[in-house]
Amino acid sequence: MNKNRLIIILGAILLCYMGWTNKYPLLTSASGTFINSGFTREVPWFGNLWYGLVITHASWASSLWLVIFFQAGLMAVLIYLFFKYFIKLPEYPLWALGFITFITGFTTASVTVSTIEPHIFSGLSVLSGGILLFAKEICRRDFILVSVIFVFSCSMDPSNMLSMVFLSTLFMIFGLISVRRKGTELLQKSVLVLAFTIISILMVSFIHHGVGGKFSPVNSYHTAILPGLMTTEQFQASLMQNPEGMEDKLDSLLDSKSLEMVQENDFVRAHGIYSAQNAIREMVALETDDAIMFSDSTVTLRAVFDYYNHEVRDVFISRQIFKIMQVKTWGGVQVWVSLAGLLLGVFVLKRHKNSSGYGFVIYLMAGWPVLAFCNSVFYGQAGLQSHLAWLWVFPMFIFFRESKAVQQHLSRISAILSINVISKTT
Amino acid sequence: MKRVLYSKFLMGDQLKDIGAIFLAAIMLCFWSIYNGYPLFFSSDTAMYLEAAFAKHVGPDRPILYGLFMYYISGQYSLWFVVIVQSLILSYSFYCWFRYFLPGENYLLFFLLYSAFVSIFMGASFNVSWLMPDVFTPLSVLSIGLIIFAPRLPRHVWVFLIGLSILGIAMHNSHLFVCLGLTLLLLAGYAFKSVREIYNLVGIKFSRIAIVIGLIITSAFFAASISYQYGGGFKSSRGGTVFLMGSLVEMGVVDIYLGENCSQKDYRICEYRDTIPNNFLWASNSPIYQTGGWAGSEAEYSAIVNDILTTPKYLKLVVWKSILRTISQFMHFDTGEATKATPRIDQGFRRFYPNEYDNYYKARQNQGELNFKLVNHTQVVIFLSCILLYALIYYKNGMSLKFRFLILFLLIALLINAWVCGTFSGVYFRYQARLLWLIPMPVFLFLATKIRIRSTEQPKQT
Repeated sequence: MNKNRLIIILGAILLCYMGWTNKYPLLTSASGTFINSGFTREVPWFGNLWYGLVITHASWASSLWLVIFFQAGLMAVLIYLFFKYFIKLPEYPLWALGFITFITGFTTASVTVSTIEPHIFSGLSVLSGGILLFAKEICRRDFILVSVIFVFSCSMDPSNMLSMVFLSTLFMIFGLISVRRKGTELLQKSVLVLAFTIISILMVSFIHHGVGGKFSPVNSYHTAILPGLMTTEQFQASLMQNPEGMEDKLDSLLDSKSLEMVQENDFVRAHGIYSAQNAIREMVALETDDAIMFSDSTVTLRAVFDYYNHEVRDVFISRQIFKIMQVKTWGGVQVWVSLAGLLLGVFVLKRHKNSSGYGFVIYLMAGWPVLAFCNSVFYGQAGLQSHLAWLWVFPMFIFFRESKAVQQHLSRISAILSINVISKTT
Repeated sequence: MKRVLYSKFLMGDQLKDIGAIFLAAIMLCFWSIYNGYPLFFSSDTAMYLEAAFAKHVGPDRPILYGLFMYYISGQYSLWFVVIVQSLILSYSFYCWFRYFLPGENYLLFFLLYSAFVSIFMGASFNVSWLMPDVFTPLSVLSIGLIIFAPRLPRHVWVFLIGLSILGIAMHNSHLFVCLGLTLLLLAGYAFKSVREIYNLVGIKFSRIAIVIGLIITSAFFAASISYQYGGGFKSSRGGTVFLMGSLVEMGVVDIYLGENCSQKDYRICEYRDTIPNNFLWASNSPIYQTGGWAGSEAEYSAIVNDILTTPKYLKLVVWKSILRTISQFMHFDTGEATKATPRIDQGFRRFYPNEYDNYYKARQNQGELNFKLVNHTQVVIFLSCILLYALIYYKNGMSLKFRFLILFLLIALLINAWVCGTFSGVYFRYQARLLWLIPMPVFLFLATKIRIRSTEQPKQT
């Protein structure tokens, strides 16, 4: 087999590290809802049907392991392609493997990949979007591959769609402003990314329509933002106005309250301000959240029982179920790694303006608050940025590529490993 | 002049080597010294001791490690067991650094490697643990050295032969791991290209034949010990029941019983809705309702045979076996040293009353041991080694001999993961016991590079 393909497979296996060590893919309380939606074809109230369908088909309706292999495979391919177009060294597959090893050991990327939740696709949509925007001379096969992954990832969650609309628009404006200086390349590419984002929105809307729902990328707008809305003081105060009703029909009460609030005149402004405030906190909340740890939700356990029955015992021998799945150390290390990535990214912007990764670093820096904002709009303060922290390792590796000192060290190590006069003669 | 003074008045080479072996042994005892007493494991340590003191083989495990503790401790102190384990391991490391590569700078890297795996990985934990797990890497190291070392002195041969026979007989899994590894090497002779590699690396058929002979001798040795202590002439204990337990965890037994209980009159069918995950050890397990380990063996044997010979079930077993092998390969947290169970407590009170206070006050029993840092560094070391070895294979780096050694150790880890993950279950300790061999080629290689520099320097001047 081709060595590069082996590297991608090895990378994907390593990315599932947390799944392997847990003895089963990581589950959360939302995993059950996604699994159910995929099999019943019912659009979940807080999101869309796409991820549920992916679970059903990627698992071949037989094993949830296949879902995380699929997620890891997509991520490994994208990382491989990133290094192909941004590092531009003959050893780029090894750089990709180095990157994967690094993010597995020092960030929670492996947790995100190994979890039955669509969070990994937020990172993948940003990464594939970045490749589409800034990769030079991308070959047709790779372009098609990245585009498909982009549309696929973007469709997973409404916050991904919103983020990419904002980001592509932002770079479109930037492209328009700099069209005289830099030509129309960035403008064309950002229009393309926006077009792909719209395609993903339309695709999900068609699917929802096809299964008997509304022609819309979410079940309904007011319930899609309900998780975010529920954390606002305004919403909680509104709920407390009639607490006696809460015990009976909490779901419908939440639904009606969110609808009431959305219909208020100043809702957009109020929720926007609240989300912006939240986003600032979210941007630096990179330690793992409790949702990653485990929630022994009956919905999730029931879904595994119903659709993956022969794996029920695997769930009950997993480390999660015994609450010994410790990922806090990874979360703690991740904060420092992200900070280092940010600092080295600033260094790249200042010192290495001709770097092939220059545009990507700007994109990541501009994208970070946008992603935090969009996540806050839909999910409030849920610590979702911790799932994206691995992206900050890219500026680190771009810096390593540009730094002469690092290059010298690498070539010295390479020389030591490859040329061993005495041993080769024995 | 300095050299003459050094060799005349300080230490002779042999004395230096012996000093280094003892120093490495002390480093390898780190966790038991820190704990204040040797470490024990759940009820298993007590079960080994009970069998040895009762001079009777239990149904679920060989008695040999119990006897090892019994005789080495002199029924006086379990510290002797840890000391002997650390000395054996230290000497094995020494032999690798001394005989895998001829040269003079082996001591430094032998000590560095011993310190590295003691502090940052689980070697010291395994040495300090009153469990046969330390004999897994010892078995792999001994057969590896027999296969790889170009020339060995007679006393080292005696040591390696003794260690191989003893180490492989210590635990059920060792036989399968070592046999699998050796048979795979043997299978290489079927291919011309592999035979050429063997020639270049210096692997001889005679050495592989010796190892196979040692494995067979070890199996006979284990069977004889078992026979001597009333367990019948069997080299391994409870194999079918362990496999049954694993098939229960895989979920295959549920499906099998669901489809076959109406036609076949198995006793386990009565309990098929209440089979616990912890099939082997849970008190409510059907094993203990249907005649215990010995009483259930025939029935479980029939079920296991039926499952493994029916393609429908076999397919699921193969799939789960692959998953469990990879899972076990990456499942290596060290530090399974929780507070004492009542059985352990009773064991120490009965068999080592003079050490009861030390055992009771040890950090392990007070819940003061923390392995979080070691476990994270282990992951980082593991990932770094995987990356480094991928780099070496990708670029054809190092020498062929080193590449082959790396492959040998990785295959040993993989076979260990497969044997344990498939036939017993995915548990930390199974892989943690071998994981710390993974950086060994790096240290051996660095030792070569230092040697190159020291021999090249005079030429340059």
